[in-house]
Amino acid sequence: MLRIEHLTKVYGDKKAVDDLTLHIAPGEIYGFIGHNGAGKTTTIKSCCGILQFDHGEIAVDGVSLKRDPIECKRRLAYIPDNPDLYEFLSGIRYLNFIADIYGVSASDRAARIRRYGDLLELTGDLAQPVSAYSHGMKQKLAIIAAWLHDPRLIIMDEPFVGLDPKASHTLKVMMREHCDRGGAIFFSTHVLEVAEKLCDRVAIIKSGRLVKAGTMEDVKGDTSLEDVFLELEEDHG
Amino acid sequence: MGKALLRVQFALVWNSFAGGSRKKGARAGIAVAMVITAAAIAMMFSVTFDAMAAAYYEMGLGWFYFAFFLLVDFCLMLLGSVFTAKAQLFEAKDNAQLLAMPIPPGQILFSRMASLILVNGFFQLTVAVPAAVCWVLHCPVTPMGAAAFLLFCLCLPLTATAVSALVGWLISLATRGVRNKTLLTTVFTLAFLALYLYYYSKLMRSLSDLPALGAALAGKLNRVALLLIPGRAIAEGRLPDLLWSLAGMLLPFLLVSLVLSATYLRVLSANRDFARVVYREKAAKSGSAAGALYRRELARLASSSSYLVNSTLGVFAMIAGAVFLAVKGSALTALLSQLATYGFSGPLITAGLVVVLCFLSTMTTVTAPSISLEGRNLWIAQSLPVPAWTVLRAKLLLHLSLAVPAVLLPEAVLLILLRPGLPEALLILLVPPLFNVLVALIGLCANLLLPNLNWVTETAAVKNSAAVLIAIFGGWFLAAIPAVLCLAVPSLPPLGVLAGFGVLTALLSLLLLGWCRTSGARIFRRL
Repeated sequence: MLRIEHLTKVYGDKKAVDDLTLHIAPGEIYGFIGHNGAGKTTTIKSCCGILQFDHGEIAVDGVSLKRDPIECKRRLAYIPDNPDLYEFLSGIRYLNFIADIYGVSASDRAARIRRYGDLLELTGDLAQPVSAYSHGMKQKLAIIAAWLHDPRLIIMDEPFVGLDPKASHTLKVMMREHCDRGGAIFFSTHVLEVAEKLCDRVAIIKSGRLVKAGTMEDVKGDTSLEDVFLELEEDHG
Repeated sequence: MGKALLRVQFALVWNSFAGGSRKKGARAGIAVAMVITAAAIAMMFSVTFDAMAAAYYEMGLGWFYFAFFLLVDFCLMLLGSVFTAKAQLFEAKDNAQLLAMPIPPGQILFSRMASLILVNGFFQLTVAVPAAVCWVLHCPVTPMGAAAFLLFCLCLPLTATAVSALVGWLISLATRGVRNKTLLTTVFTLAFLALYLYYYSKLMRSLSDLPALGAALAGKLNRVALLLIPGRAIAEGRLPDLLWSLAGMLLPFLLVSLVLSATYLRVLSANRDFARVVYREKAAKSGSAAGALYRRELARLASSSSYLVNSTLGVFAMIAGAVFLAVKGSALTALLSQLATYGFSGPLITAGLVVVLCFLSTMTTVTAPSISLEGRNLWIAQSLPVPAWTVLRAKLLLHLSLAVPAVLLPEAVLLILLRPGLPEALLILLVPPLFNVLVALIGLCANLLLPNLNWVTETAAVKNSAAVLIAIFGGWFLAAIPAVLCLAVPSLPPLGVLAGFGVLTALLSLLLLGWCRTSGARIFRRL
């Protein structure tokens, strides 16, 4: 679903991402772990086509991001680490804007807004301006917007930040359902317990380079993901 | 701590003008552009002051000259800073962050007011320099008068900033909890602007008879101590007048500073929520991506009084002009008949009217801050499955959908009033709308090259923007071309000049359109 081949992104003389290769298959929840400044957000933004990369290739559902960025964007949804949404729109107008852009039919959008709005307990607040939303409510709106056009791939940067425990649980259920329907999810997180329980595969990145990747069992073995992560941090320090 | 806050504030002001550019050449270019802008405004004021200085000195109305200067200076600073004050003092996005730090709220307030004083000082230069130069050229100067002038120039920005802060606070207070705050603020601003322009134009119309005007106004105003005393302090160098005036200027600043610093925390942390509206599901309608992007631009414009008022002044001016022409059409035809007796031909008058419409068109600058206004939301437009050009086109379309119908209104009234021949009618109908396309494209290109995405208040992106200055003054420069050609080379046929100007406008528009679709779209993707 998402193929990242030899991705390299340089800022000045610093390599933010260095020759990174990852493959995310349909049906997989893929966790992306690393310390602050490791290159997670740079990788994620490169995959969404909002950051130009220097070398390598990214393909979404078999479509090259370099050759056809618009088709790639049509097949994915992105939730950034900070849900800066249009504060001059109400929640429902923001969702309708996204639905129009992705060409979601009137009946599909109504059904999905109702379903995901109810699941995340935001339906009653959809008439409110986004400027009146709390951080968590904006995050919920960003999640509904991401699910609205039923994308094949969902890419999320720290999606659980700001969500209450119930909404976090709902999001995990939504993620699993999405993958069960043949979609894929690639997300970064610092919450290793969540990654351990939720992810089918995981990649650990340090200073822009991939230090370990594979199924959760392969990566953590008999220990916890936290132990593996801390050990790898020290080994590659 | 105070110094650190001041540095941040001044950096924000400069950054909003410089469009975040770090290149030395670009910064120098922007500084030069700002100086040229200030010089152009100063030149306009110098025409007025030059006509007044000698006449009023001889009439013994020197005090009125300086009272007029102080009044114009004060109004200009107030007009320029009142909405910036509202946004910067009470609605800045980093207010909560700063209030959470161990900084006394008063220091936050003063650092923000200091940057406003700086901007007001810059505005003041455009009035004070021509006022001083014109007086020195025509009239004697006393040391006490010069000292009073300099001291007032130092103190008046404080007074104007204090009044701006107070009015900004009142507007902020009055519109808190109101859903349609943009509409209210816009109406208030336009009313304020209309009053200012009404009285200023009334004054300017009377300037043709300076002695009569001076005697009449001075007779009325010498009862207004606020104007008489500081005017007399400069013109006649009276020490008691100087001291009273300084007290009158500094007292409002001190009072407002005291009141605001004592209540700043309470004002900022007050509950701004408005009544919660519960969502009721309605039948959903689907639309096109282009339509959604256009509606998004429209919603952004309608949500911000600062953006709406500052960027659509040309639209309001066109509508007001059309109404004025429709009601007072006979005055225009009388004026044109009078011009004809001075040797101005019909085609020359047509060219003049088209140039006026083009100048007014430069006051519509919807596209010029539109890239900067994406701010932290830029990721949304960049991650959408639409070409970057489609996003840019929506910005252009919003500008044109407002500016072109607006310019057609006075055009229609002019055609009815003047009943020109076919070639003149076609030029009146085509050239100003074409010029609006060019102004929209200049604004968009300038903002793509000089975006300011890290603003703390929207006003910074809308008002203190190099792209907006380039759109306005670039437009002025271009609009002046046919006027200069017609006046400097009388042998050129005015309609031919106008047609040539139309072709030039179309060619430049095509050039900029091509650039926007290719390089501009690439720049937008990489911002």
